[in-house]
Amino acid sequence: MRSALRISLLLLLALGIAAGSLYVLHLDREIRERFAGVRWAVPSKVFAAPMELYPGLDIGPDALADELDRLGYRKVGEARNPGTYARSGSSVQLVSRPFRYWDGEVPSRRLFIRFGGGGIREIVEPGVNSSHALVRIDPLAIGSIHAARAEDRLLLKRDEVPDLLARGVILVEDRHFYKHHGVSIRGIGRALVANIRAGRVVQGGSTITQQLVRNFFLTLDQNLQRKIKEAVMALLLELHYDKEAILEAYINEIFLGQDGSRAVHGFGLASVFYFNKPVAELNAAETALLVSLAKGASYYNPRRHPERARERRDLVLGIFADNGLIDEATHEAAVASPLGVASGDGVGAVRYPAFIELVRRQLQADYREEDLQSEGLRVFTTLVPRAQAGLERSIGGGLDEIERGRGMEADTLEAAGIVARTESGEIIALAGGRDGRYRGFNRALDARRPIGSLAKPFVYHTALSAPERFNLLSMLEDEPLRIEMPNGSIWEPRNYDADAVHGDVRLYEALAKSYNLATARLGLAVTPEAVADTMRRAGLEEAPAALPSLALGAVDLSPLQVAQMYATLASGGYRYPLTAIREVTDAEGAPLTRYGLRVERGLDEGPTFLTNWALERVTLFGTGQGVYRRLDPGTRIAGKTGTTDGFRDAWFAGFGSDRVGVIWVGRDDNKPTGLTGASGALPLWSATMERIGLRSYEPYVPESVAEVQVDRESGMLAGEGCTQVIVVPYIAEFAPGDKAPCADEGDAGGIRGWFERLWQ
Amino acid sequence: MVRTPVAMTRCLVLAGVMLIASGCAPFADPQDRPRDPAGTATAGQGPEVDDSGATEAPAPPDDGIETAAYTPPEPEPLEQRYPRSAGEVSGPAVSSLYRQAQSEADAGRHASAIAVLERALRIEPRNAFVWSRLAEAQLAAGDAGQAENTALRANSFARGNPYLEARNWRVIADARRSAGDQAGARAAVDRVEQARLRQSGG
Repeated sequence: MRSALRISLLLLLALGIAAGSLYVLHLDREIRERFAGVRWAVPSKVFAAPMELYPGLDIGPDALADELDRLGYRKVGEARNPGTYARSGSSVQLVSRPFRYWDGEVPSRRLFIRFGGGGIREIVEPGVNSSHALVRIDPLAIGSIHAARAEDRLLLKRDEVPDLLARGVILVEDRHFYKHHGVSIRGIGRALVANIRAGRVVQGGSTITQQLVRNFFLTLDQNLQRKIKEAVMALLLELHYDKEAILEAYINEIFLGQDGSRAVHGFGLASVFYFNKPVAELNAAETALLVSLAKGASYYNPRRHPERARERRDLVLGIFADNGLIDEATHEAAVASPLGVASGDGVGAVRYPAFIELVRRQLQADYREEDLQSEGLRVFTTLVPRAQAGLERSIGGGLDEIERGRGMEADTLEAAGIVARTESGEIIALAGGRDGRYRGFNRALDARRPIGSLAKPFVYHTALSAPERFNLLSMLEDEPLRIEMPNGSIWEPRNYDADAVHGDVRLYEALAKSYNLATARLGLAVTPEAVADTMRRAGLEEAPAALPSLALGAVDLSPLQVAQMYATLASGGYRYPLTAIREVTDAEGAPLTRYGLRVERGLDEGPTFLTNWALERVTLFGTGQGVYRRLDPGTRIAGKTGTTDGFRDAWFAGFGSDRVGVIWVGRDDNKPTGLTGASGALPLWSATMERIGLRSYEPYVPESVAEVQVDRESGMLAGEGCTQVIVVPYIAEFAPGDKAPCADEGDAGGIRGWFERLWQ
Repeated sequence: MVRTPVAMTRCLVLAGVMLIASGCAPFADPQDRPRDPAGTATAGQGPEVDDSGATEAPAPPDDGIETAAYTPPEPEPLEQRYPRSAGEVSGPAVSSLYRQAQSEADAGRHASAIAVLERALRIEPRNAFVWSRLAEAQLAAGDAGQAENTALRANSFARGNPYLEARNWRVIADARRSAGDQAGARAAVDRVEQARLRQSGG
């Protein structure tokens, strides 16, 4: 019996060992698979357009300093390290950060930028003989493309981790890291003693290896089985991998903060998230704060609990100093310094969710969503942070002002806006709503609203494309009309000022003053089908329904679609598909896709030139005069106001030579706002352009157009003797041929008059 | 009419000064500035354009159009000088990029040349030489359809420069030929010849 018991006990033991071994083997495989090529799912990183500096660039030292501040450059007395700059009188000295652009790595450069004559005079680099013709400054990281809830990180290689950070992490989290084999009994004991002495948890008992294992493989529940599993896996991990590899993984894995739906992992991203700069530029105090967060990123959240965080940081700084990581002077200065955390508006987080959403949609044409979310792609975009800030501030401030000024309930208005470059279609700023940080409904892309009078230029373009019938001085009838629609309903448009009828008006004047009756009649004369086709060629994916009311804007479009149509007008009729992306590289910087400049033939140049000539009159004497309340009267601007039925939508679209912009203002519930394009959208548009800067609209005259001096009264060809002469562009073959009466009088003395008298 | 009272005052002062200094020159059209289509740019534009007739005439209706006395057309200059190289019209940044694009293209790296030229266009969006070079680079890269469109756009920035027009029409001719459009290619070749004639004449 005893021997039988012994045998069964031995058998059980053997079975136990076998099962244990199998379990360990299983864990071992799991560990090696997970750790082999440590591959995190890394969301794509999205960058703004880099600032280009060159002699002649129209920027002053103050504006440059602002831009550098935005990029997280630190202002210092003497710029020595990457990411710093110094001001002195009319020059800026900066040390740029190294950066991997689409076309290669650019090293850090020490640059002296001297100003003069209203801009940059020269860019000098010590050791380089001639002035730089052009330098790029590392672009702003504006966000990442990730899943609804996701981890995000900026991966660091072990040799990219600053010494103080690496040694600090080890000292605070696991000071015997280099001695133990994954589990440290001494460490646990020591932590216990330290915690009891401090009266609270200042050291954790787990080694870095255990913490890594916990993050990699385990759930958060605390029980003995998990503890054992964690210890076994930690020992196994140490068997397979050296200390530096484990430390590198830890530094990239550890959870250090929460940014909305995005979890901030690793010190690389945390440095940007909290301090808006790379780890290489962290000082002692900042390093200590990040090291503090490893203990509990939510508990010590420096934005939410600054006092708690500061206490912990100072404690960590004390540990640094006691162990000789920093000298006493550094320690004193660091303890005296504020937390220095960049504003909670998510520096380094997704700053521009509306723009990033457009980037994501444009990328979907070429990339799979899961690759965008996991492959760590680098996406270089067209966003100009200064322009984006200008648009957001103009929208926020403009709506506040309108609501206050009109006694409206606060925060009831919404808006969307887009600004693009004319001769490339690059979108430099995009606002999806009143709050630029809001990640929800993107009105710039998804709100489809009737466009009202913004449709009119395409009616007039259609007419001016038939030069044998219409020119800018053609007479139109602004008289009531009544149309029976195909569905039997009656369409009876009115002018904006209700019952006003303007009688005979010049074509350009009807557009400039946005007369509905004249435009509705013109739309019928050229046919709604032709108007719809003009709108399609201007950039709509498909022609809108060809109804008579299309001429007055009976088509629902998004601000982005409207921006495309007006961008085509702004670029003389050439259509540049609006784009948000320039290049995409893989995580290592190898080029994947370049989204080059595309030009398409949209609208004919001649009629476009004529239409824009009339659109300039909108801001000179028509419904858009308000732009000059803010903008310099020397800046020529072509634009158009739009207001829809019952004052539900207010639009303004307009352009100079370099930028085209569209603003929509309305309410999400589509209730009337009482605002017109001129009172609701135009002020936001001109405030935006004032902040961003707009070059005067100065088109080149196309080959097919002739500028002709005509007598104002008769609209006929002017000549010697005419005193009331205006210069009007015509499609050259259809310019007026007959002389005005005043010209004949004046001509009487000329050679032609002599001939004429001869024959009379 | 001028746009604001301030601008009007400025205009009046300018008109007086300019009458004495240089007379009126509504069609003065320096090569580097776009033409002012209707003489409307008077206000706030500085002294280079003026309209001396506007101030004498009785006030015309305020419809945003400058009114002036008739100006006899100036005779076409007998010899108009057009720039032949990018260096003559480009700033240092664009000149440097233009040279870089050239060496990329010489090395057969057309995609890279295109990227560099687009960077140049972001700095000088109306530089006709960069536009023409971009069209050539796109053609060399095998993107004939885009090259034709870019060359057409380049023509609108060439502003009559026969050297550039000849290059642009050459690109268009080649692009059309490669697309099988023989008639279109022949028409473009005619335009090349016309531009060449103007080169020798001018």
